[in-house]
Amino acid sequence: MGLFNRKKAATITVPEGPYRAADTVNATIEIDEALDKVTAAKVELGYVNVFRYRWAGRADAAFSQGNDSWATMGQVGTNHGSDKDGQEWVHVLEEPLTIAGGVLGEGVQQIGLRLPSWSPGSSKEVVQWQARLKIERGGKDVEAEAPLTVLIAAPEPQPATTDLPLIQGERAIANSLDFDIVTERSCYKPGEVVRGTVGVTSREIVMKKALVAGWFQRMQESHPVTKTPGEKIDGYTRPMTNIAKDVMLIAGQRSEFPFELTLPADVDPTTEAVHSSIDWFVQIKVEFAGATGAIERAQRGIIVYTA
Amino acid sequence: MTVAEPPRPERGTTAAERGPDTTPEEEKLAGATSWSARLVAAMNPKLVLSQAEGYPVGIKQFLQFCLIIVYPAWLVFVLLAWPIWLVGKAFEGVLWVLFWPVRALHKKNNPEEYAAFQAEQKAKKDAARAARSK
Repeated sequence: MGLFNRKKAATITVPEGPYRAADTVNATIEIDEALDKVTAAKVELGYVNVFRYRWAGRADAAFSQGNDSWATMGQVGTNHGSDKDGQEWVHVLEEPLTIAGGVLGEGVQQIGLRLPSWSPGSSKEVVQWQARLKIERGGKDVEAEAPLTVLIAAPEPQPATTDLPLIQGERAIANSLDFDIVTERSCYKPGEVVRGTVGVTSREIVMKKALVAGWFQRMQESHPVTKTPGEKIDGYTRPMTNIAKDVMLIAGQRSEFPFELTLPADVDPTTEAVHSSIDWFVQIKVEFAGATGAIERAQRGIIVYTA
Repeated sequence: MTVAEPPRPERGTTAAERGPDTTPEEEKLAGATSWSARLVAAMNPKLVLSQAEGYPVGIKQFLQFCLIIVYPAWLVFVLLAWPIWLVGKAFEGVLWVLFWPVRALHKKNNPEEYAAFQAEQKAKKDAARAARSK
Protein backbone atom coordinates (compact mmCIF):
# COMPACT_ATOMS: atom_id res chain seq x y z
CA MET A 1 0.00 0.00 0.00
CA GLY A 2 1.70 3.18 -1.22
CA LEU A 3 1.50 6.55 0.39
CA PHE A 4 -0.61 8.11 -2.36
CA ASN A 5 -2.94 5.32 -3.38
CA ARG A 6 -4.29 4.59 0.05
CA LYS A 7 -7.88 3.50 0.07
CA LYS A 8 -10.37 5.67 1.93
CA ALA A 9 -10.99 4.37 5.44
CA ALA A 10 -14.74 4.74 4.99
CA THR A 11 -17.12 5.22 2.09
CA ILE A 12 -20.74 6.28 1.75
CA THR A 13 -23.01 5.24 -1.09
CA VAL A 14 -26.61 6.24 -1.77
CA PRO A 15 -28.79 5.33 -4.73
CA GLU A 16 -28.75 8.44 -6.95
CA GLY A 17 -32.54 8.63 -6.94
CA PRO A 18 -34.41 10.67 -8.02
CA TYR A 19 -36.16 11.30 -4.72
CA ARG A 20 -39.13 13.45 -3.86
CA ALA A 21 -39.68 15.50 -0.72
CA ALA A 22 -40.56 13.28 2.29
CA ASP A 23 -38.84 10.24 0.70
CA THR A 24 -36.29 8.31 2.71
CA VAL A 25 -32.72 8.12 1.43
CA ASN A 26 -30.98 4.88 2.41
CA ALA A 27 -27.30 5.57 2.88
CA THR A 28 -24.85 2.67 3.09
CA ILE A 29 -21.74 3.34 5.12
CA GLU A 30 -18.88 0.94 4.64
CA ILE A 31 -16.02 0.96 7.10
CA ASP A 32 -13.12 -1.21 5.97
CA GLU A 33 -11.38 -1.52 9.30
CA ALA A 34 -12.31 -0.38 12.78
CA LEU A 35 -11.37 3.27 13.40
CA ASP A 36 -10.09 4.27 16.81
CA LYS A 37 -9.80 7.64 18.61
CA VAL A 38 -13.17 8.64 17.11
CA THR A 39 -14.85 11.57 18.90
CA ALA A 40 -17.91 11.93 16.68
CA ALA A 41 -19.30 10.20 13.62
CA LYS A 42 -22.38 11.21 11.67
CA VAL A 43 -24.10 11.16 8.31
CA GLU A 44 -25.30 14.54 7.11
CA LEU A 45 -27.89 15.30 4.48
CA GLY A 46 -27.82 18.69 2.81
CA TYR A 47 -27.05 20.56 -0.35
CA VAL A 48 -24.28 22.61 -1.88
CA ASN A 49 -25.82 25.99 -2.63
CA VAL A 50 -24.15 28.06 -5.35
CA PHE A 51 -24.73 31.81 -5.27
CA ARG A 52 -23.23 35.03 -6.58
CA TYR A 53 -21.61 37.34 -4.07
CA ARG A 54 -19.70 40.56 -4.01
CA TRP A 55 -16.10 40.01 -2.94
CA ALA A 56 -14.66 43.48 -3.58
CA GLY A 57 -15.62 46.65 -1.76
CA ARG A 58 -18.96 48.17 -0.87
CA ALA A 59 -21.49 48.23 -3.70
CA ASP A 60 -22.54 51.83 -2.96
CA ALA A 61 -19.15 53.31 -2.02
CA ALA A 62 -18.96 57.05 -2.79
CA PHE A 63 -15.89 56.79 -5.01
CA SER A 64 -17.31 53.93 -7.08
CA GLN A 65 -20.37 55.87 -8.24
CA GLY A 66 -20.73 55.75 -12.00
CA ASN A 67 -17.70 53.58 -12.60
CA ASP A 68 -19.76 50.59 -13.68
CA SER A 69 -20.85 52.11 -16.97
CA TRP A 70 -20.03 50.39 -20.25
CA ALA A 71 -17.48 53.11 -20.95
CA THR A 72 -15.29 51.92 -18.08
CA MET A 73 -15.76 48.21 -18.70
CA GLY A 74 -12.62 46.20 -18.13
CA GLN A 75 -10.70 49.03 -16.51
CA VAL A 76 -8.82 48.60 -13.26
CA GLY A 77 -10.54 50.05 -10.20
CA THR A 78 -14.08 49.82 -11.56
CA ASN A 79 -17.00 47.77 -10.33
CA HIS A 80 -16.66 45.23 -13.13
CA GLY A 81 -15.52 41.89 -11.81
CA SER A 82 -16.57 42.60 -8.22
CA ASP A 83 -18.94 39.62 -8.17
CA LYS A 84 -18.03 35.97 -8.21
CA ASP A 85 -19.66 32.61 -7.65
CA GLY A 86 -19.33 31.04 -4.25
CA GLN A 87 -20.82 27.99 -2.64
CA GLU A 88 -21.95 27.11 0.82
CA TRP A 89 -23.00 23.82 2.40
CA VAL A 90 -26.56 23.95 3.70
CA HIS A 91 -27.03 21.45 6.49
CA VAL A 92 -30.48 19.89 6.51
CA LEU A 93 -30.30 17.00 8.96
CA GLU A 94 -27.88 14.49 10.47
CA GLU A 95 -27.91 11.03 11.98
CA PRO A 96 -25.18 9.89 14.39
CA LEU A 97 -23.29 6.61 13.95
CA THR A 98 -22.75 4.40 16.96
CA ILE A 99 -19.32 4.65 18.53
CA ALA A 100 -18.31 2.32 21.34
CA GLY A 101 -15.49 3.60 23.54
CA GLY A 102 -14.04 5.81 20.78
CA VAL A 103 -14.04 2.95 18.27
CA LEU A 104 -16.16 2.88 15.14
CA GLY A 105 -16.49 -0.78 14.30
CA GLU A 106 -15.85 -2.15 10.83
CA GLY A 107 -18.63 -3.37 8.61
CA VAL A 108 -21.60 -2.01 6.74
CA GLN A 109 -24.25 0.25 8.29
CA GLN A 110 -27.53 1.31 6.74
CA ILE A 111 -29.01 4.65 7.71
CA GLY A 112 -32.34 6.06 6.59
CA LEU A 113 -32.53 9.84 6.10
CA ARG A 114 -35.94 11.35 5.48
CA LEU A 115 -35.95 14.35 3.15
CA PRO A 116 -37.99 17.21 4.69
CA SER A 117 -41.17 18.31 2.94
CA TRP A 118 -39.61 21.70 2.15
CA SER A 119 -36.59 20.25 0.31
CA PRO A 120 -35.59 22.41 -2.67
CA GLY A 121 -35.25 20.55 -5.95
CA SER A 122 -31.85 19.64 -7.38
CA SER A 123 -30.66 21.96 -10.13
CA LYS A 124 -27.57 22.00 -12.28
CA GLU A 125 -26.44 25.41 -11.17
CA VAL A 126 -27.83 26.21 -7.73
CA VAL A 127 -28.68 23.21 -5.56
CA GLN A 128 -26.65 19.98 -5.48
CA TRP A 129 -27.87 17.51 -2.88
CA GLN A 130 -25.34 15.30 -1.08
CA ALA A 131 -25.15 12.81 1.73
CA ARG A 132 -21.91 13.34 3.66
CA LEU A 133 -20.11 11.06 6.06
CA LYS A 134 -18.06 12.85 8.71
CA ILE A 135 -15.89 11.03 11.20
CA GLU A 136 -14.00 13.27 13.60
CA ARG A 137 -11.01 11.56 15.12
CA GLY A 138 -7.54 12.15 16.51
CA GLY A 139 -5.45 12.95 13.45
CA LYS A 140 -7.04 13.41 10.07
CA ASP A 141 -10.86 13.40 9.99
CA VAL A 142 -12.50 11.01 7.58
CA GLU A 143 -14.94 12.58 5.15
CA ALA A 144 -16.82 11.10 2.21
CA GLU A 145 -19.80 12.19 0.18
CA ALA A 146 -22.30 10.88 -2.32
CA PRO A 147 -24.53 12.92 -4.64
CA LEU A 148 -28.29 12.44 -4.99
CA THR A 149 -31.09 14.01 -6.99
CA VAL A 150 -34.22 15.50 -5.46
CA LEU A 151 -37.24 16.43 -7.54
CA ILE A 152 -39.54 19.25 -6.55
CA ALA A 153 -43.29 18.99 -6.87
CA ALA A 154 -45.64 21.73 -7.98
CA PRO A 155 -47.15 23.69 -5.08
CA GLU A 156 -50.45 22.29 -3.82
CA PRO A 157 -52.88 23.82 -4.70
CA GLN A 158 -51.41 25.32 -7.86
CA PRO A 159 -51.66 29.12 -7.81
CA ALA A 160 -53.68 30.92 -10.46
CA THR A 161 -51.53 32.42 -13.21
CA THR A 162 -52.86 35.86 -12.26
CA ASP A 163 -51.43 35.39 -8.73
CA LEU A 164 -47.91 35.27 -10.16
CA PRO A 165 -46.16 38.58 -10.81
CA LEU A 166 -46.68 40.47 -14.07
CA ILE A 167 -43.72 42.80 -14.45
CA GLN A 168 -43.94 45.64 -16.96
CA GLY A 169 -43.31 49.33 -17.44
CA GLU A 170 -40.03 49.33 -15.54
CA ARG A 171 -38.23 51.59 -17.98
CA ALA A 172 -38.61 55.34 -18.36
CA ILE A 173 -38.22 55.32 -22.14
CA ALA A 174 -39.80 52.88 -24.60
CA ASN A 175 -42.77 52.49 -22.30
CA SER A 176 -45.98 52.99 -24.27
CA LEU A 177 -47.62 49.55 -24.13
CA ASP A 178 -49.77 47.80 -21.55
CA PHE A 179 -49.21 44.06 -21.55
CA ASP A 180 -51.51 41.41 -20.19
CA ILE A 181 -49.84 38.00 -20.31
CA VAL A 182 -51.91 35.01 -19.22
CA THR A 183 -50.74 31.40 -19.38
CA GLU A 184 -53.01 28.36 -19.46
CA ARG A 185 -51.64 27.06 -16.14
CA SER A 186 -49.15 28.41 -13.63
CA CYS A 187 -46.96 25.31 -13.20
CA TYR A 188 -45.00 23.48 -15.90
CA LYS A 189 -42.47 20.68 -16.17
CA PRO A 190 -39.30 21.10 -18.25
CA GLY A 191 -40.03 20.08 -21.86
CA GLU A 192 -43.70 21.03 -21.68
CA VAL A 193 -45.41 23.49 -23.99
CA VAL A 194 -46.53 26.72 -22.35
CA ARG A 195 -49.65 28.08 -24.03
CA GLY A 196 -51.23 31.41 -23.32
CA THR A 197 -52.26 34.73 -24.72
CA VAL A 198 -50.71 38.16 -24.59
CA GLY A 199 -52.91 41.21 -24.79
CA VAL A 200 -51.16 44.39 -25.92
CA THR A 201 -52.71 47.86 -25.68
CA SER A 202 -50.84 50.93 -26.88
CA ARG A 203 -51.32 54.17 -24.96
CA GLU A 204 -49.86 56.18 -27.82
CA ILE A 205 -50.49 56.46 -31.54
CA VAL A 206 -48.38 53.82 -33.31
CA MET A 207 -46.73 54.61 -36.65
CA LYS A 208 -44.61 51.47 -37.06
CA LYS A 209 -45.27 47.81 -37.62
CA ALA A 210 -44.16 45.54 -34.82
CA LEU A 211 -42.88 42.05 -34.19
CA VAL A 212 -44.23 40.15 -31.17
CA ALA A 213 -41.94 37.41 -29.85
CA GLY A 214 -41.36 35.51 -26.64
CA TRP A 215 -38.92 33.40 -24.64
CA PHE A 216 -38.38 32.24 -21.08
CA GLN A 217 -36.47 34.37 -18.61
CA ARG A 218 -34.58 32.81 -15.73
CA MET A 219 -33.82 35.12 -12.83
CA GLN A 220 -31.28 33.93 -10.31
CA GLU A 221 -31.36 36.04 -7.19
CA SER A 222 -28.56 36.08 -4.64
CA HIS A 223 -29.36 36.32 -0.92
CA PRO A 224 -26.47 34.84 1.05
CA VAL A 225 -26.76 34.71 4.83
CA THR A 226 -23.34 36.21 5.68
CA LYS A 227 -21.63 37.31 2.47
CA THR A 228 -22.60 40.47 0.56
CA PRO A 229 -25.23 39.65 -2.08
CA GLY A 230 -24.17 39.88 -5.71
CA GLU A 231 -26.10 41.05 -8.72
CA LYS A 232 -29.12 39.18 -10.06
CA ILE A 233 -28.29 36.93 -12.99
CA ASP A 234 -30.78 36.75 -15.82
CA GLY A 235 -30.70 34.12 -18.52
CA TYR A 236 -32.93 33.39 -21.50
CA THR A 237 -33.90 30.30 -23.46
CA ARG A 238 -32.61 31.28 -26.87
CA PRO A 239 -33.69 31.71 -29.62
CA MET A 240 -36.83 33.82 -29.27
CA THR A 241 -40.00 32.36 -30.77
CA ASN A 242 -41.91 34.68 -33.08
CA ILE A 243 -45.56 35.05 -32.13
CA ALA A 244 -46.77 37.57 -34.72
CA LYS A 245 -45.06 39.55 -37.46
CA ASP A 246 -45.88 42.91 -39.06
CA VAL A 247 -48.48 43.82 -36.47
CA MET A 248 -49.98 47.29 -36.66
CA LEU A 249 -51.16 48.24 -33.17
CA ILE A 250 -53.92 50.80 -32.76
CA ALA A 251 -53.83 53.25 -29.88
CA GLY A 252 -56.21 52.34 -27.07
CA GLN A 253 -57.29 49.12 -28.75
CA ARG A 254 -56.34 45.77 -27.28
CA SER A 255 -54.75 43.23 -29.63
CA GLU A 256 -54.53 39.62 -28.49
CA PHE A 257 -51.97 37.09 -29.65
CA PRO A 258 -52.04 33.43 -28.62
CA PHE A 259 -48.56 31.97 -28.05
CA GLU A 260 -46.98 28.57 -27.68
CA LEU A 261 -43.49 28.31 -26.21
CA THR A 262 -41.66 25.09 -25.40
CA LEU A 263 -39.74 25.00 -22.16
CA PRO A 264 -36.36 23.29 -22.78
CA ALA A 265 -36.02 19.85 -21.22
CA ASP A 266 -32.86 20.58 -19.24
CA VAL A 267 -33.79 23.74 -17.31
CA ASP A 268 -33.45 24.11 -13.55
CA PRO A 269 -36.72 24.20 -11.61
CA THR A 270 -38.04 27.19 -9.67
CA THR A 271 -35.91 27.09 -6.54
CA GLU A 272 -36.00 28.77 -3.18
CA ALA A 273 -32.76 27.86 -1.39
CA VAL A 274 -31.02 29.51 1.55
CA HIS A 275 -28.42 31.54 -0.36
CA SER A 276 -29.98 31.90 -3.81
CA SER A 277 -33.20 31.31 -5.69
CA ILE A 278 -34.39 30.87 -9.28
CA ASP A 279 -37.59 32.37 -10.69
CA TRP A 280 -38.97 31.71 -14.16
CA PHE A 281 -40.92 34.11 -16.35
CA VAL A 282 -42.52 34.10 -19.79
CA GLN A 283 -41.13 37.23 -21.38
CA ILE A 284 -42.87 38.81 -24.37
CA LYS A 285 -41.30 41.57 -26.41
CA VAL A 286 -42.81 43.94 -28.94
CA GLU A 287 -40.16 45.22 -31.31
CA PHE A 288 -41.11 48.10 -33.58
CA ALA A 289 -39.68 48.08 -37.10
CA GLY A 290 -36.85 50.29 -38.23
CA ALA A 291 -33.49 51.36 -36.85
CA THR A 292 -35.14 53.64 -34.27
CA GLY A 293 -37.86 51.14 -33.36
CA ALA A 294 -38.06 50.61 -29.62
CA ILE A 295 -38.26 47.22 -27.93
CA GLU A 296 -40.79 46.89 -25.11
CA ARG A 297 -40.93 43.91 -22.79
CA ALA A 298 -43.09 42.43 -20.07
CA GLN A 299 -42.96 39.15 -18.18
CA ARG A 300 -45.33 36.89 -16.28
CA GLY A 301 -44.06 34.48 -13.64
CA ILE A 302 -44.44 30.72 -14.08
CA ILE A 303 -43.43 27.88 -11.76
CA VAL A 304 -41.18 25.12 -13.10
CA TYR A 305 -41.31 21.83 -11.18
CA THR A 306 -39.68 18.46 -11.79
CA ALA A 307 -41.65 15.89 -9.80
CA MET B 1 -50.05 12.36 9.89
CA THR B 2 -47.26 14.73 10.74
CA VAL B 3 -43.68 13.58 10.88
CA ALA B 4 -41.05 15.44 12.91
CA GLU B 5 -38.67 17.13 10.51
CA PRO B 6 -35.97 19.76 10.88
CA PRO B 7 -37.13 23.37 10.48
CA ARG B 8 -36.50 25.07 7.17
CA PRO B 9 -33.24 27.03 7.40
CA GLU B 10 -33.67 30.80 7.32
CA ARG B 11 -32.86 32.31 3.94
CA GLY B 12 -30.58 35.34 3.65
CA THR B 13 -31.52 38.80 2.43
CA THR B 14 -31.07 40.28 -1.03
CA ALA B 15 -29.14 43.47 -1.69
CA ALA B 16 -32.44 45.35 -2.09
CA GLU B 17 -33.70 44.08 1.27
CA ARG B 18 -30.45 45.07 2.99
CA GLY B 19 -30.57 48.68 1.85
CA PRO B 20 -27.63 50.80 0.69
CA ASP B 21 -24.22 49.20 1.13
CA THR B 22 -22.37 52.21 2.55
CA THR B 23 -20.18 53.20 5.48
CA PRO B 24 -21.17 55.65 8.30
CA GLU B 25 -18.80 58.29 6.85
CA GLU B 26 -20.59 58.11 3.51
CA GLU B 27 -23.97 58.47 5.19
CA LYS B 28 -22.65 61.59 6.90
CA LEU B 29 -21.66 62.95 3.48
CA ALA B 30 -25.03 62.05 1.95
CA GLY B 31 -26.90 63.50 4.94
CA ALA B 32 -25.06 66.85 4.96
CA THR B 33 -27.70 69.53 4.45
CA SER B 34 -25.53 72.58 3.76
CA TRP B 35 -22.76 72.98 1.22
CA SER B 36 -20.15 73.69 3.91
CA ALA B 37 -21.15 70.57 5.87
CA ARG B 38 -20.83 68.53 2.67
CA LEU B 39 -17.38 70.03 2.11
CA VAL B 40 -16.24 69.13 5.62
CA ALA B 41 -17.65 65.59 5.29
CA ALA B 42 -15.90 65.11 1.94
CA MET B 43 -12.56 66.28 3.35
CA ASN B 44 -12.78 63.83 6.25
CA PRO B 45 -9.80 61.45 5.85
CA LYS B 46 -11.97 58.67 7.32
CA LEU B 47 -14.28 58.93 4.30
CA VAL B 48 -11.36 58.48 1.93
CA LEU B 49 -10.01 55.53 3.95
CA SER B 50 -13.48 53.94 4.12
CA GLN B 51 -13.44 53.50 0.33
CA ALA B 52 -11.27 50.43 0.93
CA GLU B 53 -13.96 48.84 3.15
CA GLY B 54 -15.32 45.50 2.06
CA TYR B 55 -12.16 44.31 0.30
CA PRO B 56 -10.42 41.14 1.43
CA VAL B 57 -7.60 41.51 3.95
CA GLY B 58 -4.34 42.49 2.26
CA ILE B 59 -6.02 44.20 -0.69
CA LYS B 60 -7.80 46.50 1.76
CA GLN B 61 -4.53 47.56 3.42
CA PHE B 62 -2.89 48.14 0.05
CA LEU B 63 -5.85 50.26 -1.08
CA GLN B 64 -5.70 52.27 2.16
CA PHE B 65 -2.00 52.88 1.51
CA CYS B 66 -2.87 54.14 -1.99
CA LEU B 67 -5.71 56.29 -0.63
CA ILE B 68 -3.35 57.92 1.90
CA ILE B 69 -1.04 58.81 -1.01
CA VAL B 70 -3.84 60.38 -3.05
CA TYR B 71 -5.40 62.19 -0.05
CA PRO B 72 -3.61 65.57 -0.63
CA ALA B 73 -4.73 65.49 -4.27
CA TRP B 74 -8.28 64.70 -3.08
CA LEU B 75 -8.21 67.80 -0.81
CA VAL B 76 -7.21 69.98 -3.77
CA PHE B 77 -9.99 68.39 -5.82
CA VAL B 78 -12.60 69.07 -3.12
CA LEU B 79 -11.45 72.70 -2.77
CA LEU B 80 -11.60 73.14 -6.56
CA ALA B 81 -15.12 71.75 -6.55
CA TRP B 82 -16.25 74.75 -4.46
CA PRO B 83 -15.65 77.48 -7.11
CA ILE B 84 -16.85 75.09 -9.85
CA TRP B 85 -20.11 74.69 -7.93
CA LEU B 86 -20.40 78.49 -7.56
CA VAL B 87 -19.96 78.91 -11.32
CA GLY B 88 -22.65 76.27 -11.86
CA LYS B 89 -25.03 78.12 -9.52
CA ALA B 90 -24.38 81.41 -11.32
CA PHE B 91 -25.09 79.68 -14.65
CA GLU B 92 -28.36 78.35 -13.20
CA GLY B 93 -29.30 81.95 -12.27
CA VAL B 94 -28.52 83.14 -15.79
CA LEU B 95 -30.71 80.39 -17.27
CA TRP B 96 -33.50 81.28 -14.84
CA VAL B 97 -33.51 84.88 -16.06
CA LEU B 98 -33.18 83.83 -19.73
CA PHE B 99 -36.16 81.50 -19.53
CA TRP B 100 -38.37 84.03 -17.72
CA PRO B 101 -40.41 84.79 -20.88
CA VAL B 102 -40.94 81.05 -21.52
CA ARG B 103 -42.33 80.55 -18.04
CA ALA B 104 -44.48 83.68 -18.31
CA LEU B 105 -45.91 82.39 -21.60
CA HIS B 106 -46.54 78.98 -20.08
CA LYS B 107 -48.32 80.56 -17.11
CA LYS B 108 -50.47 82.72 -19.40
CA ASN B 109 -51.45 80.03 -21.93
CA ASN B 110 -51.65 76.99 -19.70
CA PRO B 111 -52.14 78.11 -16.09
CA GLU B 112 -53.28 74.69 -14.78
CA GLU B 113 -50.35 72.79 -16.26
CA TYR B 114 -47.97 75.49 -15.07
CA ALA B 115 -49.26 75.25 -11.49
CA ALA B 116 -49.05 71.46 -11.57
CA PHE B 117 -45.48 71.61 -12.88
CA GLN B 118 -44.41 74.11 -10.21
CA ALA B 119 -46.02 71.95 -7.49
CA GLU B 120 -44.18 68.88 -8.85
CA GLN B 121 -40.84 70.72 -8.80
CA LYS B 122 -41.48 71.89 -5.23
CA ALA B 123 -42.42 68.36 -4.11
CA LYS B 124 -39.23 67.01 -5.70
CA LYS B 125 -37.12 69.59 -3.87
CA ASP B 126 -38.87 68.90 -0.55
CA ALA B 127 -38.41 65.15 -0.99
CA ALA B 128 -34.68 65.61 -1.68
CA ARG B 129 -34.37 67.82 1.42
CA ALA B 130 -36.26 65.29 3.55
CA ALA B 131 -34.03 62.47 2.27
CA ARG B 132 -30.90 64.48 3.13
CA SER B 133 -31.99 65.42 6.65
CA LYS B 134 -33.16 61.87 7.45
